[in-house]
Amino acid sequence: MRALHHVIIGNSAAAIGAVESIRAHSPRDQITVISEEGEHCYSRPLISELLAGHVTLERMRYRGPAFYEERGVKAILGRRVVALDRDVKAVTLDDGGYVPYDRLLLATGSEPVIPSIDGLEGPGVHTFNSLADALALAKAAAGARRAVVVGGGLIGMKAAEALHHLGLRVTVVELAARILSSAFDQAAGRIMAERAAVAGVEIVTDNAAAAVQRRLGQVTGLALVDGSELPADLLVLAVGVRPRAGLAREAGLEVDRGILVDERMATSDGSIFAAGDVAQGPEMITGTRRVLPLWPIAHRQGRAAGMAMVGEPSGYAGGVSMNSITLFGLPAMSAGLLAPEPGDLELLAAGPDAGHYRKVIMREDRLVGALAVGQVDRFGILTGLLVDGRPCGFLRDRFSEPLTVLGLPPQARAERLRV
Amino acid sequence: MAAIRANEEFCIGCRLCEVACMAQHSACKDLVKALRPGRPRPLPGTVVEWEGHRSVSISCRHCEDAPCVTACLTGAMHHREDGRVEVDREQCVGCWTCVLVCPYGAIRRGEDGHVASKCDFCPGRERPACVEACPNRALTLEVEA
Repeated sequence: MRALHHVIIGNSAAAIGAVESIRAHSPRDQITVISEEGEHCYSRPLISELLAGHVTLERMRYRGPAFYEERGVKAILGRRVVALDRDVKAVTLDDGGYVPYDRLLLATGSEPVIPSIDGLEGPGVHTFNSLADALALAKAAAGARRAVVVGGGLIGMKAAEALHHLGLRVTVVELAARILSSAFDQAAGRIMAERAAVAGVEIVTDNAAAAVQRRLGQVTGLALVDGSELPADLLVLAVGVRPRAGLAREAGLEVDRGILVDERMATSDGSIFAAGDVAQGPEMITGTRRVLPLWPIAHRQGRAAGMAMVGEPSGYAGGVSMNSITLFGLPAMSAGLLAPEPGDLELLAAGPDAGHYRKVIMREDRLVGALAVGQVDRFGILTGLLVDGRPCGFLRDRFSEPLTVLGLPPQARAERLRV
Repeated sequence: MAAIRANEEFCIGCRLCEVACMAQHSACKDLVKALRPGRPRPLPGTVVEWEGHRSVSISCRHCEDAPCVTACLTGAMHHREDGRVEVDREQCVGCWTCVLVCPYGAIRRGEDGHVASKCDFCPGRERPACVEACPNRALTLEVEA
């Protein structure tokens, strides 16, 4: 077979996963990576660690500096793809460059949703989604005393923690009744909010930003919809992200929230694949296609796309939402569903009142959700059971015991212990 | 690639595997010195579990398709050239995504709270210290056919 030219748009977890799997199976194929961001691939989730000063720029690298070189990948960094022509199979760059492809991977990630708030234009308003965002925010924070973070999700809370660490007085404004609602349950949100409050971060729930207040152009505060006002020198917008699917949409690919893909990460055009935050692919528990904007899933999907692009089985059965976060020293993890649906059974070990707990959600005998606050050790045993989809009825009798491999039913145990 | 087999039926729960692992991974290779106050206490890379009268020692399986490697946010968890899964201690930030995904529960939050801790298959040794220390062949080294 002749060598193919694989073009990858994006330079983050999914793109790297694709490069790794394409190269593992095809030493001859040509690979070109095109990225709007000018930096070498970096670990996006670490931007909060960078902001807090816990890691250096150098440690942000997701793969070694010679990653592309060693794999014979042509990297076009700092260039944006402005058009995708599916008929001639080529993309056009913002400098007029023209790159033909045999297989195309769209790994363009997500972008922050900008809420409609009066007075957003001007200095002092930040998003927190990229290395450039983190560097800009670090610079702004150096001269600031008070910050308001709009949005109490994972990104907002990590931004708040980092700014607090830098010595700023931080308030988080959350529209919902609790923080971390997309990744954790109500009790976890409450425990984390209490933890943040004890550390000195104020959490305001059931409220939203209405208008940025400025004097001589500089941010002085934020007015909320309930009429109250929060003084601030800088604002961080972290109300959520959405897939950057514009290019796919304009090219006429099937797009719902994200670009619709199958288990092979193939889009409605057989030569074009999508992976990572921009993709809407199979989800294991619901059996529907969902956008799962999570780093581990992006890498796995990228790898699956790479396999499919070289004609190998993708080995991807679908993703499950999962998260690990540590806020103000308290670790928490979740996988799958966060709350039981009618007919599901919820089991608890310890209790939210103790400030730490574990819980699982069973649907008949299947594990469909797991969550832990504080007691996160060996949590992966639960994630493994959830991903396996094997009957887990045994958990009913022993869920309050520590998690062990030895406590699994014979077949699962034998599989885990097998060499 | 050789692998450590854990044989539940032979394990007597003596935890000598943990002792040998901690000694091997202490700076001085001497557990008595390693556990002196003031020194960072090493965590064993293999852990003996109990269920009633049964016990078994669990450590990293060094999976070829390793969930921890693909899930790692920083690239710290990686395959060495010899195929073993290893943590780059400089690169790890302690996000515990590996703990979230390891189906064996074989990765622990490290002693300093910031670095993942797991079996490294004792590089430089012919047989891992835990296997060597096991008095009842509950841990054996299996060479793949």
